[in-house]
Formats: sequence, C-alpha cells, structure tokens
Amino acid sequence: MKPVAKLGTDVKAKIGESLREIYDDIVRQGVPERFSLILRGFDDGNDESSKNEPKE
Amino acid sequence: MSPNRNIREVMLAAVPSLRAFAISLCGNVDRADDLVQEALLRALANLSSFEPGTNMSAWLFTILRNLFRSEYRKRRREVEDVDGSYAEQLTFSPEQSTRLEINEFREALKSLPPEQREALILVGASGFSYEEAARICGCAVGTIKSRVNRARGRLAEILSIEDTSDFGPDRETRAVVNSDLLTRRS
Repeated sequence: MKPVAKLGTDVKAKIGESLREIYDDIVRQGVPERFSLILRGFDDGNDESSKNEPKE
Repeated sequence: MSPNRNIREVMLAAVPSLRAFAISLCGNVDRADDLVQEALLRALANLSSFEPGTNMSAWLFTILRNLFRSEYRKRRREVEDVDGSYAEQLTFSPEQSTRLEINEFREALKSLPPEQREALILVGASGFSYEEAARICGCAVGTIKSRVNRARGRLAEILSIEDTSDFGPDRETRAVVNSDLLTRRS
C-alpha cells in the first residue's frame, strides 16, 4: 500500500473536532428507554430506570 | 440467570457511544437502535464470554459490528443494492445538525470507504486505542493505523481543495468541494 502524506497536527485536530462534534451530538442523547429497560429490567423501580433517559 | 446489576450498569454506560457508532454504520437512527438492541441482547446472552476487567465498550462494539456486517452481507444478497443507495446511507444521519460546515464534513465523511470511516470513528470519536480498534475490527494494528491515516488524508484533501478541475471527484465529492468549506472553517 502506498503511504499517505503526513498530515499536520492542526489538520488532524480539525478533523477530530468535527468528528467528535457529530458523534457527541448523538452521545448527548443519552440512553433511550428501550435500552435501560433491557439492561435494568422492569423490576428496578421507576426512579432509577428514568435516570438515564434522553433529555428530550 | 439475570446478569449481575453491576455489569448491566457498565453496559448501560456504554450505550450512548455504542449508539453513536451504530448510527455511523447504519446512517439511520431506527435501524441503528434495532442494531444496538440486538447487540445488547446478544451480549446479555453471552455474558459468560466477557472477561471481567477488560473493556466492556470494546466488547459491545465488537458484537455490534459483527451483527452489522452479517446483516449488511445478507441485505446485499437480498436487495442487490439497487443503485448503491444502501451504501450511501452509511454515515451519520443528515438531520443531526443544521450547521452548514458540519453537514459538509458529514458529506466528506460519507465519501470515505466504509472501512476507513469506521477506523477513523473508532479512534477519532469513540476514543479507542489503535490496538482496541484493531481488535474490534478483527484486523492488524497497522491496518487500522493505515486506514485512519488514509481517512484523514482524504478528508483533508476533500475539505481543502479549491480547484475541482484537477481533482476529478465524483458528483458528491464535487458538491462538497464547491461549497468552499475551508474558508469558513478556518
């Protein structure tokens, strides 16, 4: 495979920044209820199971 | 039979990132969530194969990626991927952000070969080391490094190029290039 040209750290940083912005948008949505129900089951009580739900 | 509470809490903590990875693979939130659900159920059913003390996220990502790949292969066989529309979906969904420059970045990301995009996301966004990403993808560390480098190189090229005439990109890339992203990003 042909080696790729070396990229400056600022280029890498800019790419990383945009990438994380897109990614973190989704991460910030938290855990949809369907997944907390799967992982905590229905027997953990309402208080706890609602802690990690998406904000909206 | 139910897994202990502690492990389930660790799994839960990994879900937001797992979900972001799934969306980056599927390009469709509903399908990504189905994939996450399938991966979690698979993980719960195979908890005995998880080695305590190892990285739970990496384990879940590996399961999810394997499920996605087998689904993708199956789907390709069934649908024959009319006009490649399925492959084109393989990126973050476009409604995530209204900011133009981020949408342009997204378009550039979409134009990457899937294995390069995946490696870049695992290392650059999910926060895995090259070694962990290699284990998740079932390939050599050097392969991951090379994919990440190529992905970055290609993004840098797409997003900074000014003259489309000597580049000869496909239509999609040209649209990104024409939008003079660089001047606004810097």
